[in-house]
Amino acid sequence: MRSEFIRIYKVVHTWTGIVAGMALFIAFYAGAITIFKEPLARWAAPPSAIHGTVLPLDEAPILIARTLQDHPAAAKDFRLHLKPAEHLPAGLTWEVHEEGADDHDHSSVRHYLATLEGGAAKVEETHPSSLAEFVDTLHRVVGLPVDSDPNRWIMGIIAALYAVALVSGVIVLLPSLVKDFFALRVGRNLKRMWLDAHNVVGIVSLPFHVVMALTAVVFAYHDGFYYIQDKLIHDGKWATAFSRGGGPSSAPPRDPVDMLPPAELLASAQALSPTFEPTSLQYLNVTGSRATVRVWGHDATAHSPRFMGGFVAVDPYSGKVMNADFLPGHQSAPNAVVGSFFALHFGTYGGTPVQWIYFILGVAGAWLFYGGNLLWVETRRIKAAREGEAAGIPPEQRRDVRGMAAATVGVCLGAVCGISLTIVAAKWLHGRVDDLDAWHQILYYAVFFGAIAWAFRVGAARSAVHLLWLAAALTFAIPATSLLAWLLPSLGMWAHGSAATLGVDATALAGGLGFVWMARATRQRVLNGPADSVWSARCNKSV
Amino acid sequence: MDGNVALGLLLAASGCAGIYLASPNQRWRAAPWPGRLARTVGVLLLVGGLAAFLQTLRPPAATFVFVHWLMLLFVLFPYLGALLAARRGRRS
Repeated sequence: MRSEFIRIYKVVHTWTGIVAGMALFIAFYAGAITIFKEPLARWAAPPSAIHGTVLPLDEAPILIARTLQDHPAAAKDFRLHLKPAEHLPAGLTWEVHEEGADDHDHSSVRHYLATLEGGAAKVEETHPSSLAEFVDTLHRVVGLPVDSDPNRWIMGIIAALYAVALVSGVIVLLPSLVKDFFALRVGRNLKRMWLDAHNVVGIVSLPFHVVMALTAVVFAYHDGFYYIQDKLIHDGKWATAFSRGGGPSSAPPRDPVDMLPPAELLASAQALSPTFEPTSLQYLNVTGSRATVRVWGHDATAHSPRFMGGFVAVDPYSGKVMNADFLPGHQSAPNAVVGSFFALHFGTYGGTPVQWIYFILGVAGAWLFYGGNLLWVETRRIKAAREGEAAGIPPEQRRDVRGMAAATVGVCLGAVCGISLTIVAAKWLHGRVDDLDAWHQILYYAVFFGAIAWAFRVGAARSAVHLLWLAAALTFAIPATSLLAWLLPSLGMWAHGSAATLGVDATALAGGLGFVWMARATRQRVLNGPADSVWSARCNKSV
Repeated sequence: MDGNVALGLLLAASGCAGIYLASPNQRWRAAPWPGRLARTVGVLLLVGGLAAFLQTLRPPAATFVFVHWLMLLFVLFPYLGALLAARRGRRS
């Protein structure tokens, strides 16, 4: 390929990477944590008598009947959980979305729970921890606070730039791809080292990143795609045809008392797939003519089309299977292909080993973007003209380079620190503040913007060390909080003993150790490395 | 963890190690392993790993697990090599 084409692609790769890199760092770091969204939700759930157990299946029919008698609106969509977990109650749950709120915006959702008490249904509003949902939101809309249409469109632009950066990066690397494959040369040539460190992750995990970029674009603009499809193919009638209620019906309302017991509905689902493990029953429009129960669950042997797993739709009155298009391993070829893109984005196949693979690839992805910015900074470094000159007065580095270094440190480490602090706050602030959901956001953004301000105030070199120590301290605070809660129950916090929640503490402990290692290595470089660099304390300046 | 999946992960990891060690850019050892032999054994181990995954997982899921496991290992191996090389450098 002609060298001028390579140069053009290099410019494209550099600028798309620089524009999108920091947002993608947040998306990947928060996304890696979101792979373990359920363990995080369990870790953050305060203990209660009705959580962590399941409603006996034989009590479910009477609870459903009594609840719908008193709260007929719940018939539209309610859920019965089948697996015990710290964040799931033993009863029926449903959500009420605020009028006009975005479907994806969980901050405006009100949660309700129905339990059996003395043979009657007791309904109460609940306030489950929004921690895991907030971290997921940061992932979905690249660090913005709310998953709304405009924020998703911004995410879509970032994802499109990411796709362009991937393609242009591969083209730039093609001439040396075979020769440099697996190369990570650590030595005096720092630009070479950062380039190798960037390329190893970018090239080897390219398929992972291509899938992430393309699916993210689709997630960002899916409403628009559906709208166009509706107008062009379905004459604007798609919503009516596929709505859960099936549109207006003259049929008389049905009596939920006549529904089959949950055990029989589960048997219908499991007869289709013995490896399918049901986790919940979602009842939809049970008094309407198109009453449906979705039996949700996981199947580690097949790919699931949704983050929550997959489902089989069953008629709750006859037990007849209505639709198995979302049942893992039993989808038609077109559905399996579409579902595989969701599964490849969410890592919903292969069980726990795949979740860990995705977690590490996600963190490696965050590193890819951080490293890309380091490479940009190193490429524009003004070196001392002669060996030894830097020992005197090192040359001043360009202001834009100092700014980029400070922004990279502030945004990326600010997000890391903010996420750790907001996780810790789930236990420390529970019961001590009125609106914990708001506090999760306040704390995250306070640390995030504080870190950026600090990085610009004291310069990239010093702030990198400070912020890495802060990241270590806040990440260690996650298991330390659980330990403290266990040792001092009077503090009003909690430490669950399940493997999932202990896994959160253990992972945070490992993460904290990683940040300590990085802080020490960075301090060493800042104090003792070459002075003609933005990463030297001697050259360190505010921006 | 399912036994076949564990076996698949182990075989594929061994295969990746063989392929990495055959590369002239490997940093685990002072010199790379003989290229053709190590690569052939590596590929055979990878095939064995995929076959083990297919014993338990459906073909799409088995392929996805296999490919992502390979990506993860081939990302980690050069970093591990850089760490080992740096440690050797400090010692000498």
